Amino acid sequence: MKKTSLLLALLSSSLVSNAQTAAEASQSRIQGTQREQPAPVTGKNITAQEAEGTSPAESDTGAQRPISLKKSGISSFFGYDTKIFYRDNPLSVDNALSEMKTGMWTNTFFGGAGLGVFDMDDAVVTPYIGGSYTINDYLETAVQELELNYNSTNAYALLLAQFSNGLSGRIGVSYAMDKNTESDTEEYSEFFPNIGIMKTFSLPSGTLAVLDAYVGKHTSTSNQNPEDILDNLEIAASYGLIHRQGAFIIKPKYSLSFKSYDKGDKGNNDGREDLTHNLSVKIDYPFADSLTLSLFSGYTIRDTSGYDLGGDYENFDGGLGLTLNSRF
Amino acid sequence: MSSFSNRILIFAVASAAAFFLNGEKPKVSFVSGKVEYVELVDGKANSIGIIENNCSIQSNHLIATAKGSRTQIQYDSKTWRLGSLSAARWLDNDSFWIHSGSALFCSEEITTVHFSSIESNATFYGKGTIIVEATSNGGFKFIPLEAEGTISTAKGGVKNITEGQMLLILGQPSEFGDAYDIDLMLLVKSSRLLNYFPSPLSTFDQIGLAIYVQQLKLKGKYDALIGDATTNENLQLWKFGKNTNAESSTSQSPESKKGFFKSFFGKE
Repeated sequence: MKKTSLLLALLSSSLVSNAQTAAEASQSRIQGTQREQPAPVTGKNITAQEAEGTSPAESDTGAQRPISLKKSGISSFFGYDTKIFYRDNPLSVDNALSEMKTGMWTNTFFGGAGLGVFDMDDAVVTPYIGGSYTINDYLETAVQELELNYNSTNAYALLLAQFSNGLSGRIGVSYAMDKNTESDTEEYSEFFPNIGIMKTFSLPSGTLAVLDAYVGKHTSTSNQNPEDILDNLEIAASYGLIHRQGAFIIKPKYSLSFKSYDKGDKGNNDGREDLTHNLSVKIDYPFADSLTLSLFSGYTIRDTSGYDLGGDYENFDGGLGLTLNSRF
Repeated sequence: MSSFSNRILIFAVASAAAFFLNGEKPKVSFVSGKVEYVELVDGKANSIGIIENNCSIQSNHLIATAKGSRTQIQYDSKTWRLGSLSAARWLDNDSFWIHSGSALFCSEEITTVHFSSIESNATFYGKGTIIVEATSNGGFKFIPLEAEGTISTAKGGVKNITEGQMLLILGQPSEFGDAYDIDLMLLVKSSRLLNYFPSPLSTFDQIGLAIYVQQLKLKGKYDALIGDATTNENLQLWKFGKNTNAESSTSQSPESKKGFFKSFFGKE
């Protein structure tokens, strides 16, 4: 244990004295950051929606519970999410620096609105806007000394079409920006116009399966790279299960992302291809309507080709989260 | 050759006639438990018989189901389901009469159906999936799960149908009673008319879409279940939660009005 601490201290002091290496670490962190697609329908995840309702007493007609509905179909949501977790490879690298481990604490404030419900006979179309602000803090001293703490801003606008066969399609654009909190500088920003589809299936065990896929173009700006070197085309798909077990909701998920870069020099992003696998499990415990406690873990492997500066990495995340969400 | 053509022609005409004649009568496509018919002559019971799969129903047949029994009837392109402890008649292609219990109507084609009960009647024009339930006041509940079209009564005029909104049909001449938006997700989960039959309804996807729309517009849920309409003035509301008592009041507070913290942290 002492040996590891000593190694980390040496690494960090070496890194702090080398601004270029710290900048590379920052870039590795940026390129290793997985930016989640928003779940715009209510601001809640699918599981939370599924968990609603009472156990009905059966009858021929069915239980008739009166409800009140909004006349306009305009809805809004906001919430707060906090996570504390262990990160195995915070710099997303495949060298000695991958020995650095850290705890992370993230705090996210999010909000959004559905701007109406448009019934098109065989489909229902809903426009959404939303955004979030996340404070990302590294807890391990050795990593803290690299001054990598950053705040993320995200915003999106999209059109969601839900079809009667259970398929939903979406088209939209999202914006993401990372600002280093130590230097108060904008490290990275991107626009991501994308199009996606999602299909849910009910499995015999009462489990819900969710298949999702999207394609989009990341148009980026980075303060340590020529303006558009991190631009890439991304094609991604995921398959997840949602299973309720007593008071718990278990959600294993596998996702696969392929990114193709065509800017920069040969070997330095032009011709680079990233293939990222992520396997995750999340266990939710919704102990109130708007409050969910989560236990989560995820394992990521990125396999990069056509890139001289490495790019491969493996990472494990695991920790606890608490989400407060309210709809209006 | 000529004789062969004639035979083909006769066969085709006979087949078409048989098809259309067959199409005029409702045909039983599923029976669970004990379902009987009472043949009515001049309004009086003449004979009683058992309803079985594939048998046709006449307009003078009163169909009655025993406790826990149900049946499904195909009438042209329309699907009908009759719940347990129900009694009903299919008077003709577009007229349905319910004495007691509940029934489900499903059509993907635009059609006209005259729904009637002991006291009341209403005409539906459109397509969709609708549950009707006879009430003690002689009227009936009209519950469109998913539907497009209108409903009209002699005194109430014409009304556009709203999916998931239950309407009470009352009195003679008939009028509309109160309308209640009801939780479609809960209704669908708990309805035996939907779930106790071997094949799913053809409109199942549309019902799913109606639930989705309702969830998007949801503001709050009342801690009560709607019961019988005992008179034209009273509708039973079964409050649930701490106490479970039948009440005739309709003034419940929606969950969204519990107060800020309670609505935040309170369970349904």
